[in-house]
Amino acid sequence: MDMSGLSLDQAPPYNSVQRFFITAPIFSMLVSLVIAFNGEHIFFSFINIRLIGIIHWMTLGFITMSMMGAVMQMLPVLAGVKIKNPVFFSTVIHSSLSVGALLFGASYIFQMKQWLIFAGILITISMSLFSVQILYRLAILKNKSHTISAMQMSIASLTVVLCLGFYMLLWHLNVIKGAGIDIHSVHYFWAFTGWVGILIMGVSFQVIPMFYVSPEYPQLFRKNVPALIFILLILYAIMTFLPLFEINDLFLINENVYIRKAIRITIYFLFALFSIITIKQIQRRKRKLPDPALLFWYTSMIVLFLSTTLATTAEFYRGGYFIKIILLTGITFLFGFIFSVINGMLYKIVPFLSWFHLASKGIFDVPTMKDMLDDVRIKIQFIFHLLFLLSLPYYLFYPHAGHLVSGTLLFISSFLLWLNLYTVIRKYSRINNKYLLNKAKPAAT
Amino acid sequence: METIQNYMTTEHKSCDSTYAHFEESILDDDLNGTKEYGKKFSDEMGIHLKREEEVLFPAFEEVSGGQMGPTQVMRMEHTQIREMLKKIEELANSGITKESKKKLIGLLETLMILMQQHNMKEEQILYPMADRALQANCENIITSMKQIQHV
Repeated sequence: MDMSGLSLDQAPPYNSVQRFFITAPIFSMLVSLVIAFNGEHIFFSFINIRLIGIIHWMTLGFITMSMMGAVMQMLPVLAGVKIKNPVFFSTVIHSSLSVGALLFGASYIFQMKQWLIFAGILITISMSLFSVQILYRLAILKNKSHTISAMQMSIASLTVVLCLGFYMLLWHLNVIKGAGIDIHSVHYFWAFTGWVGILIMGVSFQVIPMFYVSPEYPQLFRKNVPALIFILLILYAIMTFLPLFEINDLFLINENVYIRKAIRITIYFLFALFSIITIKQIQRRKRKLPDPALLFWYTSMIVLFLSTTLATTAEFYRGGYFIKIILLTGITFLFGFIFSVINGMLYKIVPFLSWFHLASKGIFDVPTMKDMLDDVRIKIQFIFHLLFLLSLPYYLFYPHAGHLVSGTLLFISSFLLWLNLYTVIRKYSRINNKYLLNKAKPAAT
Repeated sequence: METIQNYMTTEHKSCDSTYAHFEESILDDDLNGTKEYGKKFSDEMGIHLKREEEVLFPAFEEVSGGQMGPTQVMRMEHTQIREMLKKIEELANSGITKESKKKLIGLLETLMILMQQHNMKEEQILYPMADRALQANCENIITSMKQIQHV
C-alpha cells in the first residue's frame, strides 16, 4: 500500500507557522495608525487611494497572513500531507508576503507608485508558491472531506484574486490599458467571499462540531453551499467580463445588471444562512466550559448577518447615503466578520501549538493553554475589539470626530492581540530554551 | 455495510459527549457527577484506545508494512492523552478547590483540543485508509473490536 507523502505528525515546525500569526496584528496596528492620524477622508469613495492601501494591509497583511499559517498548520491534521522543506517554504512565503504587503499598502497610502511593481511581484511570488504547493497536495488526495473541498475552492479563488489584482496593478501603472469593465468588484468579491468566506465556512464545518461538541452542520449545507458560492462567483465573473466576448445575445446583454445583482443577493443570503446556522450550532453545543474565543465567534456571526442584510438592502436603495452604506457593508464584513473570527481562532491555535510542541518533547508539567494565556486578557482585548466595531458606523458618518476614536480603539485592540500572542510565544521560548539547555548539559560534562 | 470510519467516528462522538458531561460536573462543583462521568469517560476512552491498539492498528500495520507509519504517531498521541487524563482524574478526585478548578479547566481545554486534532487525523486520514486497505476484512475487525469490553 502506497503511503508515500503521508504523515500524521504535527508538522510543520513551531517557528515556521507561528511567525505568520505574530506578524498579522502588526498590519492591523498599521491600519489603525492611518485611520487615527489621517482617517478623515478615507471613507468617501470606493477608489480613495488610502482606502485601497488600508484594505490591502488588512486583506494581505492580516487576513492572508494568518490564513496561510492556519492552512499550513491544518494540512497535516486534515489531509495527512506534509510540506517539503517547511522552514524554507514558510520563510520564502512569509517574508515575501510581509514585505510585499507592507510596500503595497504604503505605495498607496504614501503615494509611492514606484514601489508598487516590486510589491506586486513579491505578493505574486508568495501567493503563487503557496497556492500551487497546497492545491497540488490537495488535488492528489483520495479521500476529500467537505472541509478539504472548501479549502481547494478557497485557494483556487485566491489564485483568481491574485491574477485580477496583478492585472489591475499593471493597469494602475499604465503598463496596459483598462478593459472598461468592473474588474474591481470581481476582485473584491472573489477575495472576500471566495478566498476568505469559503475557507471560514469549510473550517467551521470541522471545528465547531469537534471543539464544542455540537451537532454537525446540515449535510445539505456542507455539501452544496461552498460549491454553490464558488459557481456563483464564476458566473459573476463571466457576466462582468461579458462585454469583452462580443456576445450578441440580447437577453444576456440587457439583463446583465440584474443577473449580477441576483448573484450578489444569493451569495449574501447564503452567508446570512451560514451565520444563523453557526450561531445555532454554537448554542446547541454540549460543552459548557467558559471559552472567550466564543465571544469572537458570536460577534463575527452576528456582524456577518447584519452586514449581509445591509448589503441586500443596499441593492434596492439608491438614496444619498448609497456610497456610505456600501462602504459600511464592506468594512463590517472585513472587520466584523473576518477579523473577529480570525482573532478568536488565533487564541486557539497559538496557545495549543505552544503546548503541543513542548509536550511532544516530553517536557514534564507543561503549562496548559489557559496557563499560557489567561482568559481575562482575552476578554479585555475582546472589549476593545467590540468597541472598535461599534465605533465603525459613527466613524463612517462622522469621520472628522470618529476617525480618532476608531483608530485608537483598533490600535489598542490590535496591540493587545499582538501582546497576548507574544506572551504565549515568549513562554514557549523560555521553557524550550531551558529544555535545550538541560539536554545539552550531560553532553557537555 | 458498517465501515471502520463510521464505527470509530461514532465512538469518538460518544466519548466527546461523556467528556462534556464530565466537564460540566466539574464546573458545577458536582462531586458525584465528576466521579461518575470521570470514570465513564476514562472507561469509554480506555476501551476505544485499546480497540485501536490491539486490533485495528496491528491489522493495518500488517497490510501497510510495519509500525513506523501513521499508527506510530497515533500510538504516541494515545500516550499523551492517557497522561493528561490521569492528571485530570487525580486532580478532580482529590477534591475541587477554587485553585484546582482553574487548573482543571486549563487541563480539560487542552486535552479537548489534543483529542480533537488527534480524532481529525484518524477520521480524515487513518480510518478511510484502513477501510480501503483492509476491505473485506473490515467486518471481522469491527467484530473483534466490539469484543473488547474492558480497559
